[in-house]
Amino acid sequence: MEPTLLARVGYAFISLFVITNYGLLLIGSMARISAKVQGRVGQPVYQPYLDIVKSSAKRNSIGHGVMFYLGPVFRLAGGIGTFMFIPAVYDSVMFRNFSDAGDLLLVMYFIFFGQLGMALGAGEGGHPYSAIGVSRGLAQMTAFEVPFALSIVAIVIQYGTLDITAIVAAQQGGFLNWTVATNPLAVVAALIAFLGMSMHNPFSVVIAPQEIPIGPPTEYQSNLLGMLQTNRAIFNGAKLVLYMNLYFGGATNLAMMVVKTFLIYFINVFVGQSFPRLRTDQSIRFFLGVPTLIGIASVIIAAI
Amino acid sequence: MVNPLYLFALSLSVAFMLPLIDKLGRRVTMASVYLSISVWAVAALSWINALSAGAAAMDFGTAGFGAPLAIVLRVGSEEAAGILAIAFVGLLATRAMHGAFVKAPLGGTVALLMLLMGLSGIVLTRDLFNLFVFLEISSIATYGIIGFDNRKKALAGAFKYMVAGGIASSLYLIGVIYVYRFGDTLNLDLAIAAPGLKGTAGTAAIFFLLAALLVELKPFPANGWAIDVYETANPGVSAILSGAAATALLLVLWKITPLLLPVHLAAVAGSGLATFAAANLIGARQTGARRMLGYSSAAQAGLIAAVVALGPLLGFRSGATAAIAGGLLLNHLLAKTGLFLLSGVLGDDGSRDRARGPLAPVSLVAAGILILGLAGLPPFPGFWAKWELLGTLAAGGSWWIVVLVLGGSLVEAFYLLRWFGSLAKGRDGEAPISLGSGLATPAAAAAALFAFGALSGWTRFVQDPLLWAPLAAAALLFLMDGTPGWLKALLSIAAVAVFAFLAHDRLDGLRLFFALMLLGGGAMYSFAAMYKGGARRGLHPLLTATTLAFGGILVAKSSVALFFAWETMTVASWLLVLRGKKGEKAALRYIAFGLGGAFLLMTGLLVGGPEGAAGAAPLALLLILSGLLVKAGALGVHIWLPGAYAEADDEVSGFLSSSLSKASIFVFAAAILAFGGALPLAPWSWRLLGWLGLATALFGALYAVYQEDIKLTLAWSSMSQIGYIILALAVMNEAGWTTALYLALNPFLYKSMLFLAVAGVVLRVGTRNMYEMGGLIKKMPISFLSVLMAIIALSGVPPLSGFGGKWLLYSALLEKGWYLEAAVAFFSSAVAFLYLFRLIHTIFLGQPKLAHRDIREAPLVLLIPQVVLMLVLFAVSTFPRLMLDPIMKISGASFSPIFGIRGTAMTSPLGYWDGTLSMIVTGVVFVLCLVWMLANLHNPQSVKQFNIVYAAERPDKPETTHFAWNFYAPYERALGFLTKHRTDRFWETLGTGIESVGGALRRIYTGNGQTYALHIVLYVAVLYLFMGVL
Repeated sequence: MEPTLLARVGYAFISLFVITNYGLLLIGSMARISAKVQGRVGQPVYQPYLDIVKSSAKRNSIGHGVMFYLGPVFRLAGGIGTFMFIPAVYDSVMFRNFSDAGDLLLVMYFIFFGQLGMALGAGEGGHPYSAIGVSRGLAQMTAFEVPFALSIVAIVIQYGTLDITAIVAAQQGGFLNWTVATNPLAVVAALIAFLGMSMHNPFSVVIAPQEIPIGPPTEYQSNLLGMLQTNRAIFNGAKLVLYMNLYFGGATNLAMMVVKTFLIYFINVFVGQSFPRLRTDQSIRFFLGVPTLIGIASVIIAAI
Repeated sequence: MVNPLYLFALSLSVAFMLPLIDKLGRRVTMASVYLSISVWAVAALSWINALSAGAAAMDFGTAGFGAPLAIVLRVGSEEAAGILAIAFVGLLATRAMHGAFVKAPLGGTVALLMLLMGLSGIVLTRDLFNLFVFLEISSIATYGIIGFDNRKKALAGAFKYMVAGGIASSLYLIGVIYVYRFGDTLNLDLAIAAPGLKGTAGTAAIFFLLAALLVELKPFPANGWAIDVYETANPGVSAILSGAAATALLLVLWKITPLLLPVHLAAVAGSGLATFAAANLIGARQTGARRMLGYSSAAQAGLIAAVVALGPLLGFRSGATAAIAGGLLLNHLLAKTGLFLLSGVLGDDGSRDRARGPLAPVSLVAAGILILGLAGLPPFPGFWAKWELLGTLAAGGSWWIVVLVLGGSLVEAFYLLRWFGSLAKGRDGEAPISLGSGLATPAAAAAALFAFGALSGWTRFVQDPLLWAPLAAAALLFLMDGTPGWLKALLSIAAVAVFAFLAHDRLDGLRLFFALMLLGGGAMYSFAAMYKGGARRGLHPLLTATTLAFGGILVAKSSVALFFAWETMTVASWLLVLRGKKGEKAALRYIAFGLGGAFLLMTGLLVGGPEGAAGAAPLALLLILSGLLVKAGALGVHIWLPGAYAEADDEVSGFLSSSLSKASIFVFAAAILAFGGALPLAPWSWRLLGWLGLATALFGALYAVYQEDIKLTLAWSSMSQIGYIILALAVMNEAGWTTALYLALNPFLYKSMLFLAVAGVVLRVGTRNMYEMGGLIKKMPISFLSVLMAIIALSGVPPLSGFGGKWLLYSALLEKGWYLEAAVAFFSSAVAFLYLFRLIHTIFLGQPKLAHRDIREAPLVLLIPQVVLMLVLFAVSTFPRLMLDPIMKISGASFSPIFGIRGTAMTSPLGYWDGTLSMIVTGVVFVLCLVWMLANLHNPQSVKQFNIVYAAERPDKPETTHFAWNFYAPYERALGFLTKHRTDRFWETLGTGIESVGGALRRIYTGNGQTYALHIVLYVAVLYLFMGVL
């Protein structure tokens, strides 16, 4: 039975609530794992909550103009929207979200909505480091999108559809039906692209988190920063769910989603702790090299 | 009919009486000269009148006898027209040289009368020996008149002319002797029938006659003597030699054609075509106008001679040869006369230190008419004649001649239009040149050229008022060019509206769809053009002409009408580019490629037209598509595009980019539909076309990334957009065409917004370099909003309608099985993010420059269309069916459906997209986030500029704080090798190559009379051997 509009909105809020909390805990736990690898104690798992509360409670909020204020709004709306267009749990009315608004292409392009708005907001902040970060981020983005797009093309050939739910449906019935088993090259290309998307090492030069505050959020503080931090959790969650749906058979319940997305995210941390950072031009050349060839190979194999 | 003998008597007696008449004063002398030339003209008119009333051509015997006992003069329509032309040119040239005649000794005036009379005699006589006499009379008169005003260089030229004339006369005499020996007659008509001239000896005899006539027609390479005279003599004399003398000699050639055997005809055709090609190549190297015109004269004479010979040789249908050769000759003699006279008024002798300001408007129009006419552009006689010539040649399958004629014409148009460009722009900082009363004679030639062109076009080719509307509107608006810009803008909009009303019953489906963008766009940009005050001379006539020419393209019912409108559009838009402040070079590239593309299109239309050969559809489609690809700026032939779009006036750039480029797309689609859809070309050709479109899209985007100049960024971006449309069209099914049409209309909306906003920004900040701007969001918020919406749409980010384009494109490509294409398209659309963000960031965000503190928002007339477009964009984003329903109806009419519509959603075999729902979801989420942000905002404080967290330092210079210049340095390091402008280098090398060929050929012209004499002898010898080979 088709739920009423009101019910759908209600479900969407539940779904959003779940992904937000899960995303925050995921970030917290990964930070802690990284710390362990580096031989530190690290932050508590709930530190992301504290960060958001602290930011939101600031007494002052410094603004540089309308677009500056709208940047985080775009960013958060972009994160939530992306999630809203992806069915989070297969065959679940509650976590279906608004995936009937569009197929995979809509999700792929909606990812840019928040990034673009945020970049514009950061631009009005007037800080050169923000613009430098955006410049690096966009440049890198064009490169990692290539293997990603190729892998998407490969699975579209494989499943004959752009409908995410249908792609998940095609992978049901044991892990040998997952894309990772049936089309491993496409998954490899996509996962390499995912490293770039997540902006972890070795592709972290966009925000250069350790040494200087660079990248789009440079000028942001207070509630505005809080929104960005919230978005990070949701947006990460959305991308992980998307990857899970496309490559790892999706999830038929929440627990499975948690396990799968955790493992997918763990790849980032694993690679990030093992490799040093690349310069922007190096990472561009990297993505357009071997990963792109792998992507092309996956397309050719799928087409044959 | 008046007996022409009286006219000869009149000329002779006036000439001999001049020394007496001169005693009454030079004014009386001149008056009698004008009078006697006018009598010729009046007589010619009376003949034409009688002949057109149905009278037969008449022979006038001398001394009471007819042929073969006496010399016979014939007055037929060719002769009458020739006499009129000679008299007309004579009158204009005399008027132009009036001052010189008054000052110089009387001999010049006598020589003038004798020259004109001699030329007329050449036209009239039917006797071969008498022809020789008239040739000699005119030659001797020519030597005299070349030197009449005592120009030293001209005297040297006259001597060389005399040497050449002597050789030609000797050849002619030998010919006459042998013709009389073997044909037993000197009467042309009897000789034609004489059996003795059909054998080997007769062939040789006729060859000598012919060789002499050809030498007189200044063939390559035996024409150095004539070129030197064209360059150095009084321009009036050059005008007579180029206009009147060439007319007389070509008529002789025409007259003796029946006498010629196929070998002779082949020799004439070969020599003519070689001259046409070589003289134009050399002409391209010239810097001085007169020498350039000299080469052009030789080229034109060569072409006409070739046509005269090709007619009987290839069996043109009856009347075609006369029409084509006549049209070309008329065009040549009027244009060349006018241009030589104009070069005289300008004092353009090729020297570098003369005054070179831009020409004043009226003079420029006259020069423009003459130059465009000579270059074979519409609506002048040369255009129609070339259309007919190439149509006839293409129907006969004479491909190499088509290529040669088009190649030569292109080179000729190139150097002529380059000259026009320099006349229009002048040297920097020099005052405009007004020609005053000196303009009268060139203007008269221009007026005649226009009248004849319009007349022949209307009566023989395009009898459709709508197709002449662009010219009419341009002329009317030009007449009131002094009035304020806003008045002309409103009139221009009214003209477009009237046109649309008159044409509405011819606009349906695809045509209506494109009319929206082409006519609507034109009207919108006319409106926006009011943003700059003043008269904005020239802008509105050209803008209106271009817009109405679009309309002409849409409503054209025949190929010739379509091509007429197409060329009108090309020329008008070229002039628009030329109007740009630094547009000269860009405009030259634009027109060179524009004409190249047009020629391909023309050949395709002719091949595929009703006269084309059966089964030629694939070739026709190929030619048409290649022509359109050039015009659309596909990768490889795009090098004209960035300059043209960037250097035109700011609102004109938008017009060119968002409207004009769609004209190619329209013809593209129409041509594919006309030539049987998928039939003619194999699938791999479509795939190749798809990749070409894709490469255009990708490289356009990549080039755009590195630009510092905002208009160059937009120009490259436009190229990229066109690439997607080509890609989508190449898919060749309903999905692809729906996508293509969507990608044509939708970017029209947001590209216009971008260009209009940028026009406002450039107006306010006075620079096009983005790094010199910054932080304008607070000063120009509406422009910012417009750019913001435009770049969201352009980059394809949902929920704006740009995403629809992306969804359609990928769905169509994946459905078709073009997988790698889809991936590359995705890359290219990601690259678009780079330049779009850079565009909005470096202009509107970041640190504002101190000098821009008092900047105001853009003028209202620029904002109004932007706001309207924003509303439209929002509406079609929320309700995509507003746009998709009509589009799918059009594409569904030609292909079986692939895309479907379910409620508010679009469906494809692969997926779905619900624009309305995604807009609602995004809107709700956005509002919730906004509310959240506002609700949690504690004590917000706005800070001043430079108040940023900046390494413990407070910056104070926007120049060092605004990150803008070389924005994507890492990208350039990684991928810069892809954008090394190899194509530019290719075309530049090709251009240099063509120029060097011209340069090498030119070196045979040493200026030495003996060398020139040797050229003539060698030419004749080679021609004879050539004939032997045949």
